[in-house]
Amino acid sequence: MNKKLVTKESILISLAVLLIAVIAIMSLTGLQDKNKNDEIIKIKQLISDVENMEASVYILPEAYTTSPDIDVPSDVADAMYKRVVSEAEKYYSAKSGILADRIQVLQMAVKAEIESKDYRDKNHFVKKINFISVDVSGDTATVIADVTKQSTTLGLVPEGIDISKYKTSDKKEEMKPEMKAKLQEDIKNAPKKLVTFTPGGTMRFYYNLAKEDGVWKITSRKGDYLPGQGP
Amino acid sequence: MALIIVVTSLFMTSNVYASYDRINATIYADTWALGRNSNYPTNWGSDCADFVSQCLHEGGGLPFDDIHGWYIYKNLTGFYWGNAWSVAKDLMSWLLYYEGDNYQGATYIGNWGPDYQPDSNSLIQFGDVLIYDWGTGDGWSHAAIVADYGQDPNSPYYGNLQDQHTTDRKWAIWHLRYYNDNWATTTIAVIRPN
Repeated sequence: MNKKLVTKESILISLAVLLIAVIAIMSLTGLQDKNKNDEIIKIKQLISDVENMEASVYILPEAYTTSPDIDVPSDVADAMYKRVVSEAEKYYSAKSGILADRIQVLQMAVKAEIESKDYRDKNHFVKKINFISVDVSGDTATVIADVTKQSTTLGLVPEGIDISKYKTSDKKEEMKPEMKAKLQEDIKNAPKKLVTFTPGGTMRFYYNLAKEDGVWKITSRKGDYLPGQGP
Repeated sequence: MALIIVVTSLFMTSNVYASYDRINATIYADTWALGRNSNYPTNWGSDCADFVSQCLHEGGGLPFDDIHGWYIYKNLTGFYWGNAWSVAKDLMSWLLYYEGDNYQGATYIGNWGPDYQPDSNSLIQFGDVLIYDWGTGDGWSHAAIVADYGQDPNSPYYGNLQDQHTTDRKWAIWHLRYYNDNWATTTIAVIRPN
């Protein structure tokens, strides 16, 4: 009965067990943090890559970007349409509708570049990405990022048109159809000048991602211009 | 007695519609394209739909539709409004899908994808509402109003011109290509209030 319940040895053993437990928990947490940080790095790289792809995948080869009116052969156009599919498949999930949506939009962009004979992009690129948040939870993640892009675009514009000649009244009213037709005819016949534009803007994007076979894929992506940062 | 019945039945069977004054809507648009009317909130960052709604209401004469969210009022604590007034895609839905007791709805003129957006679009009229989808997954997210025809003063383009807020513009070419790095993915819908 006089036997001591708490001995020096038992205290030391308890402290040792406690210390081991603390070290184990810290190691585990550190490992988890490292794993999470690795995932965040991968996700940031994916977002950067997909935005670079989105900006540039529909830009025509250099030989066709010196003037908007250069015809694009059908084999070049077909290769562009195929490239859109293979590039989009790298980043977007085929399990949600987003892959088909992005292919449709980006192939339409290729068509626009080919068919708009007075306007064509020379390049379009990401200037800056500012990650607002990256949240990872198991095999899903959400990202918010501000993406700034800019293009160098060529336009063929008419020269020497005096718009005051076509306005018949100071009143606020539609231009008369015959004057509109004359203006259009004069624009068609006017000499054209090649001009370069550099439009740009910043969009806030919201992404959802999921891991598919160990690889992050984007399951949704929505972006709109920040106030005052759009067209 | 017969006269009273006839007059009463006339009121009961016919609605008094407000018809849209599109020229006046464009005059309002030109007046406030680069400014803010202090009768409305002046500190919204994204106020494109609010601006178009003002044009339709103040200039165009369309009455508020409290039931379907196209309204803005002010009380002692400030402004309160419905989504159809302030959000581009909701404004579009309201224009297309609702007709009130005193509002005749709108006509969908069409939409133009990036492969065909002529500077001069013969189907567009003064006072038409333009709704933009940038092709970046957010759907119809920007609104403007057709306000003139001629030369865009800030670009070398001639054609249909629009006024807009958020990025304030007066008489910008309607397709905004000159200003839009996403022009190749942008689709524009044209809606005409009746």
